[in-house]
Amino acid sequence: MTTVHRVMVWGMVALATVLSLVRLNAIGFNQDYILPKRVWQVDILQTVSDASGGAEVSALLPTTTSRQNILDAANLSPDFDHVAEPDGPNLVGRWRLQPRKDGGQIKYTVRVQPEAVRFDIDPDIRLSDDVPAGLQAFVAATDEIQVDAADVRELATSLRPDSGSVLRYAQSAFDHVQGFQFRPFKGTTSALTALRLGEASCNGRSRLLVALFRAQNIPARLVGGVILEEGSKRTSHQWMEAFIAGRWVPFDALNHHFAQIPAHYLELYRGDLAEFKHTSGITYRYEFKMRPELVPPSTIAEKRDALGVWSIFEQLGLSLDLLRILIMMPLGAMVIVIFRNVVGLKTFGTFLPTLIAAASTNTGFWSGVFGFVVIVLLTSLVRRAIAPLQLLHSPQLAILLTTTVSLMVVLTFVGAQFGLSGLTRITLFPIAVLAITAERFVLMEAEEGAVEALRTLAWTVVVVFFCYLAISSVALQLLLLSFPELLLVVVAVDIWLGRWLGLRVTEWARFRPVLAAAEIR
Amino acid sequence: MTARSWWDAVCGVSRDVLGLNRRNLEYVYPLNPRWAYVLADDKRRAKAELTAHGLPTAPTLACFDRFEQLARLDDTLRAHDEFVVKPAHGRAGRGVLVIVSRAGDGFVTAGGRRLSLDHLRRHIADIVFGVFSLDRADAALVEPRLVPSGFFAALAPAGLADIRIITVDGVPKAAMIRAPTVASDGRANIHQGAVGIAVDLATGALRGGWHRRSRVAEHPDTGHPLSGIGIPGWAGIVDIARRVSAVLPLRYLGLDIIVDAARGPLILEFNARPGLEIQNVLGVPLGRALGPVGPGRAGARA
Repeated sequence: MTTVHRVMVWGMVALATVLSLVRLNAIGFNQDYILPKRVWQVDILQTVSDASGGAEVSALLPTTTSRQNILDAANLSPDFDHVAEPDGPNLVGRWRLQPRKDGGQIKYTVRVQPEAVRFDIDPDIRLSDDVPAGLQAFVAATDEIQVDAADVRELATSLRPDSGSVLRYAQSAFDHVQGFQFRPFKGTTSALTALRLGEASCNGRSRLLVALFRAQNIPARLVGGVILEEGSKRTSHQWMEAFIAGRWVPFDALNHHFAQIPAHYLELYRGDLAEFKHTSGITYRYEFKMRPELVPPSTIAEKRDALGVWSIFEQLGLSLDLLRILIMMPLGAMVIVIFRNVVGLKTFGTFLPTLIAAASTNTGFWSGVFGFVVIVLLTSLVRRAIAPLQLLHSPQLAILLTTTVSLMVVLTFVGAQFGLSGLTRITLFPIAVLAITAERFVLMEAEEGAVEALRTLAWTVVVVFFCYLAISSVALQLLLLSFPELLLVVVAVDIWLGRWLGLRVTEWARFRPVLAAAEIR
Repeated sequence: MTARSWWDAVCGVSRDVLGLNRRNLEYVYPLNPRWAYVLADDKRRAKAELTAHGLPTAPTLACFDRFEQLARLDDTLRAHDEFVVKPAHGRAGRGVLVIVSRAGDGFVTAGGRRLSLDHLRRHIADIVFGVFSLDRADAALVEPRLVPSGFFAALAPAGLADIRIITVDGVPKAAMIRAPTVASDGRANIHQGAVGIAVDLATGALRGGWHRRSRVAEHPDTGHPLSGIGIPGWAGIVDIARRVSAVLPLRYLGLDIIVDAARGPLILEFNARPGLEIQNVLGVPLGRALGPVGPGRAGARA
């Protein structure tokens, strides 16, 4: 590195640091105004058919609470008349099938930002026989929560600590229920059934835990919801809350959350209720579809900070999902530079691994790599099959491109058939790049042998993996999206690597004989 | 090892073994102007440049750079039974076709394959189309088939051995012979199984071989000794190397010279980014062989 390079490298690092600090200072070092938020797009889907006699269905809908923020909600159900009305703490959505129709789909979609909550319970709070005013209903016995049953009373008494500490009691009750065997029961398990069997799914455990709290006059209630994870599912979840020191404190004795729940829990309703109801005699199914996305903080904070980059991107109409991949490409390119110039690995195409890694963020790594390898290998087979035709170069590439496109369609179809959602998005891969890679693969095979070609392909996959690690890291995405000036640091590293004089790792092996001889002298 | 010397070792500064990074940053980029690469990359221009300075190269029998010229291919080649077709921009022997004789209407390649006139025409069309030069339109050169002189024929009967000489600022700094083997399929490419033979720059004496990543004393095919003998006419060969690098604008050069039985030493091609395998062949770090690089020559731009 010459002085010029040093000045440039450190100048860029210094500039990036100063810019970051200035912006951080302007917003009082409050990261909430810069960091994008993770929100979930949740579709509550219900399908009705064979309902010529009419149908009414209802679903309990998520509302904004102290720990979850509903950003927007929409009903997309053209065949149904819809109303949403409050019912106690809950919101009930009702749909009535329009006359002369015998079915249709109900889609209620919300964008929600849930947050993790965690409570500290003061160990000095004592159990008491006084129930806070207005909460009598939450210590009462019900058909499924048999607070007065002898078994429940007996267990509650045995778990009651001598100190009378609410925290200790909650802990013993929680541990007792958590120690149960898991049993994926369908339908409802009452508190007493769960207690007697010593095993239960989420709702049996939660009812028993509610019963145990109520037995000691601690108000408690069930909470119904969904655990958010990308994809589709029909499984809902139940946990419970106890009213301790003036707050409703959540407990999930199935997933080991004591006085806390994580951010990916979506609350749908409170109470011992069923999420869905429908008239009998119809064919009915439901499903939750969930997709996480990053949104600018302004959407949530309702604050547009002049120094934030978000409003600019929003005005340009750039989707954050696209932007976060775009902004990671320089980092992916830097990873490749390291592998080429420092490690000395040979890959197909200079920046091909970055492109494949970026495309793989839509499919997932394994689907992406599987698709990449399958398409390159099969296309190279076609390349070999048409070799005897002695075609000119461009028409030959056109045929390989056609092959690549066809393989993508086939893989998408296979993915759909076998429920591999990653493979269905393989069409987002750079088609021409794949076709040219297949061509290079065949040429390399002819000139340097199949072993060398396969080795290069394998190294390409290795580099794709590291590019993928860099590009798909949400932490790095957030960092670069919030502080785009850090790209200057990326450039500084590129300059530094651009003056890297050292032997590449592979060259240490290649020139070992000379290195050994040079050492001796 | 202290941290500092360890770091130096990682950066490759404590030893003179040249890696691609250092070759490019300290030799190729500062010594070879970008515009002069075309001279090295285009065999037609290279030959024109050398011929203009009275330097020996293989004659060009024909040159095709337009498709319509292929209609007269038969006429063009009528006088020749043995010839070589090669792309002007080809690298690493890609697209080179060696014809050793005629058979009926067709030809026979060095590999013994029979080739129809149409097949040959299509191969030349591929070259012109750019199949062997990364899609750039190219020219196909037809040259006489060169026959190695007695010394080289005895050394490597499997193909045409060549001499690689590295020069810096007109001064030869390192030399080796690349001798084809049966395993290398007649090609003078060490990575593909040819033998690299160390050559003493001062005397032209052979100093042992490097084959399949180990030292050898004899040619693997013939058992021909690879040391204790000298290349005939070495002084003349080095002189050619000196003259070539004096007229070219490239200050760091890899010259490939072959010694033809009838024509004597001929410059096959020159390379602005010569490979580094010569270090293994000589057993000497190239940084040490090349020595310090002086300031730029006045009027480097020809």
